[in-house]
Amino acid sequence: MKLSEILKNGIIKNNPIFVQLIGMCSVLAVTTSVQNSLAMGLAVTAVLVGSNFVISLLKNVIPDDIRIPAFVVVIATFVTVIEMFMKAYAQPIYQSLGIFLPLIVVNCIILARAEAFAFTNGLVPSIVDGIGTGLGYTVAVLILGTIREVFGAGTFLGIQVISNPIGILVMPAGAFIVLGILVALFKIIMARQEAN
Amino acid sequence: MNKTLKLGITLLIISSVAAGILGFSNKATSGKIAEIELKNTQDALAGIFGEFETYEETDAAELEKLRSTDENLVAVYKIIDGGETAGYSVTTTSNGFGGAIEIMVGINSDGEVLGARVLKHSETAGIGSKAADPTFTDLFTGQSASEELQVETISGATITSTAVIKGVNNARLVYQEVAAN
Amino acid sequence: MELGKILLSTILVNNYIFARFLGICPFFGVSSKMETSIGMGAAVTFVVTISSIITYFIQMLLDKFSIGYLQTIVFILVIAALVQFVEVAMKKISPTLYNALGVYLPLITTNCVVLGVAILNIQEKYTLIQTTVNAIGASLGFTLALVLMAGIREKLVIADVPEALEGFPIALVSAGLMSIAFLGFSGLI
Repeated sequence: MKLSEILKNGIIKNNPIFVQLIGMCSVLAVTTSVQNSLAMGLAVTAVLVGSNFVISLLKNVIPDDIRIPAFVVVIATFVTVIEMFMKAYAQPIYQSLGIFLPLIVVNCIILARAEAFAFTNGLVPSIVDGIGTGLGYTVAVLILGTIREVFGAGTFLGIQVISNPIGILVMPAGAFIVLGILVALFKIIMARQEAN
Repeated sequence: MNKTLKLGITLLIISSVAAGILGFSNKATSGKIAEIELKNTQDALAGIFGEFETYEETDAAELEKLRSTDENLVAVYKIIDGGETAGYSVTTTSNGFGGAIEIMVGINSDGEVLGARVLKHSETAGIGSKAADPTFTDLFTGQSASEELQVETISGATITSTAVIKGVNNARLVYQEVAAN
Repeated sequence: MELGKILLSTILVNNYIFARFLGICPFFGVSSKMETSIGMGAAVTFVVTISSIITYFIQMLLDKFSIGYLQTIVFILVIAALVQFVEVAMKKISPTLYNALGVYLPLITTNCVVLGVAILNIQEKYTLIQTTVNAIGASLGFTLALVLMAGIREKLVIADVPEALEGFPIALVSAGLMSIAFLGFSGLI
């Protein structure tokens, strides 16, 4: 498989959020603002690239029977390191992501990529797969975050753009409904493209 | 059994390497984190008390005693200016809609509220977060800490504003206790 | 906070699914049938409660040696090991229970409710009793959400839904409407 294809697969064809529908907890929770979405997207991408890299590197060392606990250890290490650095250099963002930062550990996307891709593929494709899937996640949370912040809070990156926002969109209910509609739209667009 | 042992050892090695990496990055970041937390505290205190000479943090044993007044108490700072106690700052938490809201309340030695600030919160942006804004918390400024502090709740953000009011009043009770000593 | 308040808050007001977004994957994964959602709910209640109590003591150890930064990695390993252990123990002690809940157990390790509740207990500085009550409340709230959702989704199957919204999207929108309904509980505490 060509590298560009791996990248495209991660972002569009196998988009973790819109197509595979995994790793939803953080998606729904952190998309109340564009800034949070971007930070979460980058954190998830960093963990994905890191864990894919290490797991692909260790694929001949890790015995099959204990691969899942080994993956979890690798992922948890990356998550904790990123958490520490965020706490030190980006404290406000660290505060607003809250518990969802450590919970990246149990984000099914990362474990799924480790199991389905990195454990059986070479170093370079694994890194590219990490970047592709990470970008797919980031794009999805950014779309959701933009819609919710602009129409829900009336701001974009904190700057006022709309005077009478629809408050429900930034509340938990809004997260479910907006994501539901986005998934449906994505389905329609993909179906159209396939028909062409 | 031999196989289990081998698997166990492999996992142990992986975990030890991971723990080593974490220990290393903890060392690399802990100084910076402590520095930022100190700066955050100083900035918050300066925001309420303006310029002052120095401050003292109440130690853990004393805090534990004060927790009988307010179980959510986080920290108490004694503000010293011109060699005298200028006032106290009390940090506490109160449960809002999205979890704990951390509030710092500054009260001068005459018992006048100098200001209240929400330090950390996870309330809904644009709704509950209105009650975390200085425009709301400034309403406490100037009130006397000898009686219950009263502020109108924000409609649409009732839960958050009620939580903030409760937290500020708990801080007031702690102030009364430390100021009496 | 009083125990009753914690319980009420975690089941209804701050429901882990509708207000805190923890455990969304299994929520949508198994809520298409009533029977499986009750099974999953029971398995989660079991694991969350035990793991909360164990992680409470582990945190004491971590604090004692001031290695709090190992929290995430230690907690997740403990949870994974616990799930494995529960699976083996259940198989031996009660095969009937194992047959009913066994299939859900492997899925629980990556259910963020388990790790989420464990970390939140520590963050909120709960005592052992509060931790236990919070864990039970959280998982009962999770089960309630799951069972209610299953009730709706069983009806949705026979409903005439626009093609693009079929399946997952309509489930998300329904969850959103339920979340609005749960907002009504917010005045309770």
